[in-house]
Amino acid sequence: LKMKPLVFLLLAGVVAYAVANDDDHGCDALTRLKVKSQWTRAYSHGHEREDFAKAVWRAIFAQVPDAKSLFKRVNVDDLDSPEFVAHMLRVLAGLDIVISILDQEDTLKEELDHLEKQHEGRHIPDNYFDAFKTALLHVLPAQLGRCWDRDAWDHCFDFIAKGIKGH
Amino acid sequence: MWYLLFVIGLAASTAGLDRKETRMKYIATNQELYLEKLEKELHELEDEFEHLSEDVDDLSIKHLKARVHNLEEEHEHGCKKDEVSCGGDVPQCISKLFFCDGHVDCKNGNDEHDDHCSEAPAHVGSSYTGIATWKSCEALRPHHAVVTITASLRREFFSAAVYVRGILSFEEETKQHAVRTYPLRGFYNFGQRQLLLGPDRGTTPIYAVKCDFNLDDDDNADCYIVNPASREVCAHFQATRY
Repeated sequence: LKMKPLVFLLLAGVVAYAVANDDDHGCDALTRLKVKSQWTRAYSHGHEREDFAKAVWRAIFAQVPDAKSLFKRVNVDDLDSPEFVAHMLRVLAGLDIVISILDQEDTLKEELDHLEKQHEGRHIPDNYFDAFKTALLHVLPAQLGRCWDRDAWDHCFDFIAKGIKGH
Repeated sequence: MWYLLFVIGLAASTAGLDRKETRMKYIATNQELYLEKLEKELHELEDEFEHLSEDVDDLSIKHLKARVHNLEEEHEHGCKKDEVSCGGDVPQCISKLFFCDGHVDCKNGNDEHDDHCSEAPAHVGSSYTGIATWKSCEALRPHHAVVTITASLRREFFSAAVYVRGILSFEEETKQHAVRTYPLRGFYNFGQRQLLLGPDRGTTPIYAVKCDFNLDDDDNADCYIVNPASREVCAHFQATRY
């Protein structure tokens, strides 16, 4: 008899977890904290930040060279040009904002809505987002060198990309 | 009478011819002897030369240069933490993420040079072994430790690193050959020429391995068995490939 409330609690817990899981695709509260701290290490600062950004963008364009057509305005033809370096850093700064508020539900929603509006008219195919994710998921471990959780990033990137894509 | 004189004259002339030939032979023999003597002297000289110490082999010089270079880097704080020197006459540092990625970043192009971009340390089957000396984590006597690469993958779109799987094994005890093994995964970084392996997914994080190929070749590395999170050194071994 004593067991019953415990079993019920356990069940409720499992159901709650399953629901939460369904909502954030495995990017749960603890996973978000993990991603936050690993991002802080990888994002680094100063010149190293620029190098990290460059490595990510090179990996993106190596996968989907056609995506360059979206960035004509920011001098994409020369990846080392100040205009494009500024752009690369701007995009990572946006990602930085999102990641740093992953644990503040309301603010996060506002930011993702804002980013969704920014990207709306640009008609970005889903596979460009996939290329961004693949690039990030390969450069991150090389940048971090240790202690990184691929699954955590996998789940949380999907969650963020979904927010920006709006679907 | 005339006949006799003729015979004597003939004999004398043939004897004269014989003597001439003998003389010629005598001179030739002497010349040969002289040559032999010269040859003998040359051999003696060669023997003496061989007794002198031999020229240093290229690999030793390479290693010595690398060791001096390592000390210089350490002393002068040449490049920042995540940067690597381009080498060459004019010093330049670039990010470790830019080596061997198909894009020339160093002014002298060294970041894409074959010497720097050898994939050998990450080849499947590459095995590095040495005597591990433990300073924490295990109470073991110095025994053999082996790191073997079991799988490797280099992505075209990001080729500055090779993602690898490997196995760390070390002897616990020599008599019964008790050996412990740990599956690892990680990557080889061309820029830093460093093999970093952490615990494989789903395994208990016990050990990680860090190998620096700091002797300017693919066959020697400075390896550490470390704690995967803190990177505190548990054991060290000077590894050679076999």
